[in-house]
Amino acid sequence: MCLLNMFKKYKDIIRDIVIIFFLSLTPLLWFRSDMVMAGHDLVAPLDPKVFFTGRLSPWIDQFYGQSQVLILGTIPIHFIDAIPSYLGLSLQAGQKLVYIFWFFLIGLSAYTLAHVLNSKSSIFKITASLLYQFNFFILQGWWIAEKSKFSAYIAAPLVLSVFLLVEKGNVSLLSGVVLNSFVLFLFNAGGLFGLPLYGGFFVIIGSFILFSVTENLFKKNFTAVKKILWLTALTIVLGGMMNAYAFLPAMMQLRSQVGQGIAAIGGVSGIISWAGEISANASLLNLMRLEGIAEWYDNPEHPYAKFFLSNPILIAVSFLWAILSFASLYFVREKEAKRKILYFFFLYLIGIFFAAGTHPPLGFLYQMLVEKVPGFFIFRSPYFKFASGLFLANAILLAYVMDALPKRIRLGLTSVFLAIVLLYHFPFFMGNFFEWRKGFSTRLAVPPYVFEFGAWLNGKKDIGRILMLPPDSPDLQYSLYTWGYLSFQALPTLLSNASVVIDNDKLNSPERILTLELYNAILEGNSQKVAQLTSLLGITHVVIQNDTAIPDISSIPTEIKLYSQGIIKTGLFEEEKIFDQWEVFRRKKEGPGNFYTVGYPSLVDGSVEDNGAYVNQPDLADAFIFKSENVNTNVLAFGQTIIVPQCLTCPRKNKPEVVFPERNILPGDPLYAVILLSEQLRARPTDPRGIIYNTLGISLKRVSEINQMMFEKRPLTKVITDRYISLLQTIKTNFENLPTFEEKITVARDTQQYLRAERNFLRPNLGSSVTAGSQTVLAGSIFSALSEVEAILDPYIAPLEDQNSRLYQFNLSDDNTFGVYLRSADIKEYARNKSTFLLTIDNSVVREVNLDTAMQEEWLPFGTVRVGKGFHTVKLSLPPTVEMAYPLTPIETEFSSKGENSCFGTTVSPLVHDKLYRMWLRYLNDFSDNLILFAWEHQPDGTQRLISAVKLLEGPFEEKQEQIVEVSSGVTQITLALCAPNLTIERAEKQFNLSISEIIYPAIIFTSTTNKPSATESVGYTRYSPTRYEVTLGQNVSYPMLLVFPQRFDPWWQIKGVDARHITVNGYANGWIIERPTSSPLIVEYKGREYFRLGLIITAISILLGLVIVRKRKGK
Amino acid sequence: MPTIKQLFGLSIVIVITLLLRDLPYANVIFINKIWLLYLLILLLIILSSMKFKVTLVSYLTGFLFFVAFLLTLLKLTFFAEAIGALIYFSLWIVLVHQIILFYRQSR
Repeated sequence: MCLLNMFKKYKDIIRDIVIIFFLSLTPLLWFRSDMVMAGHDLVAPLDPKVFFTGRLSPWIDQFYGQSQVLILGTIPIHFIDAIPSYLGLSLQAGQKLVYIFWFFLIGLSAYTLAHVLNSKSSIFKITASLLYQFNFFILQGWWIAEKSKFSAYIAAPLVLSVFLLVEKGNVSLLSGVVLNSFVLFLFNAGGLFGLPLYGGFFVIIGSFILFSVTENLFKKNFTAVKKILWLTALTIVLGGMMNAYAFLPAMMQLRSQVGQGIAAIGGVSGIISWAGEISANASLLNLMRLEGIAEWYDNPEHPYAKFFLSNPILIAVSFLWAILSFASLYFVREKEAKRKILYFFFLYLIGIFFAAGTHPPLGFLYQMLVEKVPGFFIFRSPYFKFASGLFLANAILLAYVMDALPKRIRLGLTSVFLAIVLLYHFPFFMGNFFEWRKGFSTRLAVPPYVFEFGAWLNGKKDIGRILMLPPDSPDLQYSLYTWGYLSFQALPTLLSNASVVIDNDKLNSPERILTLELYNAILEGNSQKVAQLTSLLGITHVVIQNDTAIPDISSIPTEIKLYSQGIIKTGLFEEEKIFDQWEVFRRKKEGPGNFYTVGYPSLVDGSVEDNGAYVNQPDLADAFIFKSENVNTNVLAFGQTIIVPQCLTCPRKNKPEVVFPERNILPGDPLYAVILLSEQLRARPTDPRGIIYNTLGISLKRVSEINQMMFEKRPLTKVITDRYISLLQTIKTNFENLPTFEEKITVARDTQQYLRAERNFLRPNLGSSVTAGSQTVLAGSIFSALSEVEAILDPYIAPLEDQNSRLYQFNLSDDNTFGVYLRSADIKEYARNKSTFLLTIDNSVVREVNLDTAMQEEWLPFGTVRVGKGFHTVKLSLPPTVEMAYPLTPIETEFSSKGENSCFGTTVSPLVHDKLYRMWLRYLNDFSDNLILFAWEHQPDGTQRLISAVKLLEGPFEEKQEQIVEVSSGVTQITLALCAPNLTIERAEKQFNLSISEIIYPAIIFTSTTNKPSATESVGYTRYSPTRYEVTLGQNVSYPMLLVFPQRFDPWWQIKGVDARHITVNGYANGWIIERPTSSPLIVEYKGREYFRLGLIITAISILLGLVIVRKRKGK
Repeated sequence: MPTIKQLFGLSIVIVITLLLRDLPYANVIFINKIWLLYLLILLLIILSSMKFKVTLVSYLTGFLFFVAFLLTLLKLTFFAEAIGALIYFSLWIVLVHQIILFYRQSR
């Protein structure tokens, strides 16, 4: 009876909700036969239960171990994913339910807001809900089921509803705070990591606070102002507390990582340029038409965009949304409704501004926000982060228009309107939007063997670490399978939480370098190297996937059979199980395990990048420590010492391009003092290197000013020239203060380039603008000051200029005897002739090696040498470089223009990827100020890509232009061309000399000759969780010793129960130096666990607090 | 018509902006967008010199929507977007006017 009464009372609402639910069944149209959603950016677990349990920990074993501290907030989202699995439903049925759930909640949240705004009109509520559910902003999220985005999208109308209710007095302040906090707890967009997705939310709620506070201030209703501000502040506090389980660990970790985060995405300029890409088509008009998604315009294979960009009817309908939103201002007369319309129209315009991002005309303001407002950089994809505000405003405004129609036509017209909305958004019902590019879809049939592999993996305890073969292309980093899966998300991570490794973007730099080295070793079938690397990396199994389809354009081969052959050739693996296309091989000899101790580990003076030199040394221990870890040899004794001297004269980058700024205000102008003042006020570096580069930047301005003055024949004064000379003096002083030889070499090279450019820039004035008198003296003082600085730089530049020698350095802490070797692979070029290599250590010890054509060994020995403690230099003298001359012939390029611009060039081949080439152009350009040297790479697909364009100096003397060319993967030839308006064949032949040579940077190593043999012992342990282990050390362990834990090094890993120093071992893993035995149990624990637990307690307490408040309020 | 005071104020603003053109940093950061300020000044002058100004802006906005629609159909995207920017600014004018009107009527 009671239920019946309730049904009668709420029958309209129930009817409306049934309609919304019916529309929310739309996702059922998307699922076909046995297909599920997976791939691209869609994080759809293939085993939702396992995936969910993996997310419940701040550390996971996947890859070499990964911190999950920043993604703990996704727990509610993945819990929803897992519920159907816990209920025993199939993966597809579960996905259907989850999709319907989110679709329905989107509609329901808009319905709630609409109900708060206008509880009486179903037309109003249904219109608002439907427009909020069916639009292209949210459809863009559906193809990869962006549940975090849906979460924020749902939260916004709900929190706004609470704000409206509290403002109106229908809900008390405290209840409002609790309701908001619960909403933010349930729909947290994935926690701190999903904060950018809250962009639209911030705009919606921020606009409301601004609107309401301003209005009430004008009305002098300070109580209302206080209420709104308190509601905001307390919501932040309680909402934050309810999410403490995710926020607390993430904030503790982020404290030190914000700078790195920005750097990782290319700094502020990188963010702005990315925002520019996203905003390229987000014009104000497109946004008013509810369009503007970048992909619509730049992906010709977009499944539905073409219709909306070309069909006149659809274009006309797109204008309807804008016109109706505008019309809402005039349609509604009722006072309270009008007030709300004014707010939503305000939100509409603000929403457009933010969604437009860096698009003109107001994009510069957005750019300023990114540059000036701390933290704003997180909104680097403006449209995707902010457009929800626009869509909510549009939905509500259009709902007001429908509701304001005359009663007799209201229902009919609204029905027609809603039909138009659904018809216009027809891609929702076609489901073809999953096909994001021809042949690629996020809707696919996953082969059964993939699930079988996952089940097998999850059933194995302590399986160790699995390496997937073949690798992903290191350049593309995504996985691709013949059955259509393409994603950066490695497939095994959707099936299991086990440690499965593939070279994608989840690996950090040292892990990637070592893993690629292992892939290469497998390709070579090099047993010793594979054995060493699998031990160092803790790899116990390999899986050969015979169904991958990685493109062949890659810096390492991705062909499956090469890896199968390599695995067999090593003889280290035996087959364990076959899952149709996937073959699992196990290492015959078991590795040292999850914890092990190493007596006499190796000491390596080098970096991870040098691994090709030190890995594969026969005496290398199961653990090595870099010298940079500063481990005292009195504390821990080492076995073998390997030194990879650092090459000081092996520049891999081109010299900097110098561009002179244009100067309008010159010394003597009234505003010139302002320029100097603003330069003074700018923050300046304090370290010598920073000061030099900063001063070089300022010197360009001074030179530009002096040049302009000379050109305009304005008199130079001593003050002006002294201002420039004092800059050169600063450079000189700070250069002398540079702490290391290595730094001096690098800085000298760049400084010389700048100073040479400044000299060349000013030189043409002599004899033309400056001809005689005191002006010549002043100009002369500039040139002599330049020469003075250049003289100081010369000793450091000379070794760089010497093409036939390489200079290396290393530092030794103890005397030792070393075998010295040169890597044969690096000097293959010289193998044709009998060549001699000379090695000079500290300008005194000289060793010689003769190269003959039958070069067999991997390392060429220079013999042994006794080296004392301290700093040492090593000079390697190479045979003369073979330079190939390339004559210039007429060539047609994109810059050729008959009679206006002629090009002469040549094509250089064959080039080899990863090698470096030096291109020399000696030239005399006395005929054009617009002579440009271009270089194009010939891509594997037959197209040419312009890689550089350098303007050559004009002057009466011969100049030289040096360029280092690093060949991209798949490229075997480049075309070089000189283009200028009056370049003739005679000039090209007589005045230009182009030659190319390969640059060789051979690796040298020093390995100690008297080594103590290392001893590796496995250590027993109990695993309580991925974040906590108890380690049991044996009785016969000798101290001090090194305990190795082959999970990714993270400063948050700690050992309890003993004093131990935490260091990086093997370039990527955790290690502890334990000096003396302890009777306490040794607990290895991840610190994130403590913060996570503390956060969980805060979350639980605040939820309880919230429930108590709600209950008490209900009682009142 | 604008008053003498307003005109004087406007001319001062214009002179200052012209001076800023030669000031380093300001010439790059600020002056590039000065047309926005000039547009605003122009709108203020036009509006204050017209009777029924806001109603006119409303009609004008409606008309601009139509023009933008035609330009979009003709695939003259650049011009349509430029009209879109005008519509956006006029929508702000309409909103500000509506807010003022609403609170005046509320009193």
